[in-house]
Amino acid sequence: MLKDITLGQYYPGNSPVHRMDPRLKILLTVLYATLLFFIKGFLGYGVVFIFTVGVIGLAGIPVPYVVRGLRPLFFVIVFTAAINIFMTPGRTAFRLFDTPIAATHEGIYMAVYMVLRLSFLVVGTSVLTLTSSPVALTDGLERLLGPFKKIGVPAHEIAMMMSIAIRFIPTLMEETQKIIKAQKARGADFESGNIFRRAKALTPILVPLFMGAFRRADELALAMESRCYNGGENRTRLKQMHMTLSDCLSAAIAALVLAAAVTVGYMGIL
Amino acid sequence: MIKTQGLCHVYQPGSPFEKHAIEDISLHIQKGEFVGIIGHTGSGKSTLIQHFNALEMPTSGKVYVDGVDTSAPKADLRLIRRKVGLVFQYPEHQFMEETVRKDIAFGPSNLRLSQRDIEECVLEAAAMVGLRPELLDKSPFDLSGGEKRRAAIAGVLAMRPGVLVLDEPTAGLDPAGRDELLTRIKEMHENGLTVVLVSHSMEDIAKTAQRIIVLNEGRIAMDGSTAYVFSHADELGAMGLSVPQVSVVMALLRKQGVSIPDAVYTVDQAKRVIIGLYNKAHKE
Ligand SMILES: Nc1ncnc2c1ncn2[C@@H]1O[C@H](COP(=O)(O)OP(=O)(O)OP(=O)(O)O)[C@@H](O)[C@H]1O
Ligand SMILES: [Mg+2]
Repeated sequence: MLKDITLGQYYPGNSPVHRMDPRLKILLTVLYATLLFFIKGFLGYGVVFIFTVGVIGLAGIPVPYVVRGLRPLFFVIVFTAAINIFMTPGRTAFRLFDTPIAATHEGIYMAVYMVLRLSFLVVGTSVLTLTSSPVALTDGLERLLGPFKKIGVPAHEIAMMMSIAIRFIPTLMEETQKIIKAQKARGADFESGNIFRRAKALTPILVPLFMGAFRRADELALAMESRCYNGGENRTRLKQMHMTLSDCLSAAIAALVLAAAVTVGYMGIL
Repeated sequence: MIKTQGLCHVYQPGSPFEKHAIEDISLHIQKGEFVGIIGHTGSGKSTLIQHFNALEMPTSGKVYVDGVDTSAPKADLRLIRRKVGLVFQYPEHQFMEETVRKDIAFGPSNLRLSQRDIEECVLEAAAMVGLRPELLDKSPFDLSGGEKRRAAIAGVLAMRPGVLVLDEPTAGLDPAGRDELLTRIKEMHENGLTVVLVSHSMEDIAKTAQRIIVLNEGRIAMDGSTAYVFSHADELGAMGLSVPQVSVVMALLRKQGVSIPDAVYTVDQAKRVIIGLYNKAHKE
């Protein structure tokens, strides 16, 4: 299950999506994530769907591979949907086993929206991390935050922290997997029993996981210091970023498609 | 005890990271054996031994533990894991309790034994690895490197396995800690435990194992007695492996015309042979 998390993983490749300037990619992802919450009507989501699948296809990543990233979030999504279905006031659609808990038409409608939004949000943002190496992401982010340095935003430090966090998601997943295995080897039982027993069986995982994370952090700090790392002042880059004309063009097209997704909803076409 | 037939394992099938870690492994480890597994980094040693206690399932092929097929739907995996105790590489990274005693007790308490039996298992396991009883109430994080390693191994021994499988147990230990640990493992073997030892160190294997399985790129390249495997220095060299340094010295002496018996690959054996030769030369 844990190894299915694709969020934060880099899928090496050399597609136009991979080569696109990371600054533009980050901006587009932010735009994508924001617009998702303004889209009304299923036609809008249809456009987003085609756009998303198109980009994934262009990047040369198998669609099922990206969608697998949703599996670990299954519970969150189901939970959100359930809350929406039963907690939204409105016309009653059906009752749960004759109890006063009622599902409403408005709730069901909202739930479908929430599920769509969450799924697209996860899939869309994983496309960013799947197609950009962590280094490209940090560099892009740092450059984007550059202008805010004047008002005291520690752009370089923020970017560095983010890239370290992204870099370590897969490592921590791997570590968790290893700890689970080691505990299974000592008779721990993660598979049987009710949900409370299973949750309880997970707690012993946390101690070694945190110890490992602290150890890693220490080692990383030491490694950075011994290479004379000292923040963002006067650092030069190994790879300079170039925004090409085709980058700008594709970004513009993407932005237009996304804008169209929002407007179709407001134009009242379904 | 442990038998595999045409065992293959593929990691992340169908993704761009697909990896055939082991292929077509057939072996049979008998009760009471001391088997060393050697191989280059990435040759699939860790993958292979995780099949021995059903932590990994074969992509194809079979693994039998005491005749039970580990991939059978009704196989009791916890029983298999109790029979085959597996110690991971750097097991001390996985301490989770505040005292050594509680950490060692993790295994037996999962078996739902009584408090008295658990205590007995803990003391017995601690004695087997040579952990002084006063260390039991310390935090595992306060032990020395060698003590940590032994405490972690005790955690697996506390389940009283019939087979002990160790993945690089001496990695990162100083020479004294290494020797102490190997001596302990040898003792356990003499007391009837079946041992499978994965190691990069030919010296460690030479000191302990009776039989060696050599893995190369996921396949068995050699499987035979220690003497047999170490007499194939050239083949091992081609796989990026070496024979123990003592074997190299002995081979050179043999080339010089000194008559040295086969199967000399530990310092102890070499000492005996050389003293014997010296005494003989003196008499003449
Ligand atoms: N969880 C995993 N997912 C994907 N590939 C893996 C995984 N674990 C191991 N591999 C790959 O399988 C191959 C065999 O790995 P394995 O850990 O069994 O080697 P090893 O012989 O134990 O190496 P080492 O001596 O370095 O410990 C390696 O190429 C490794 O990259
Ligand atoms: Mg290994």
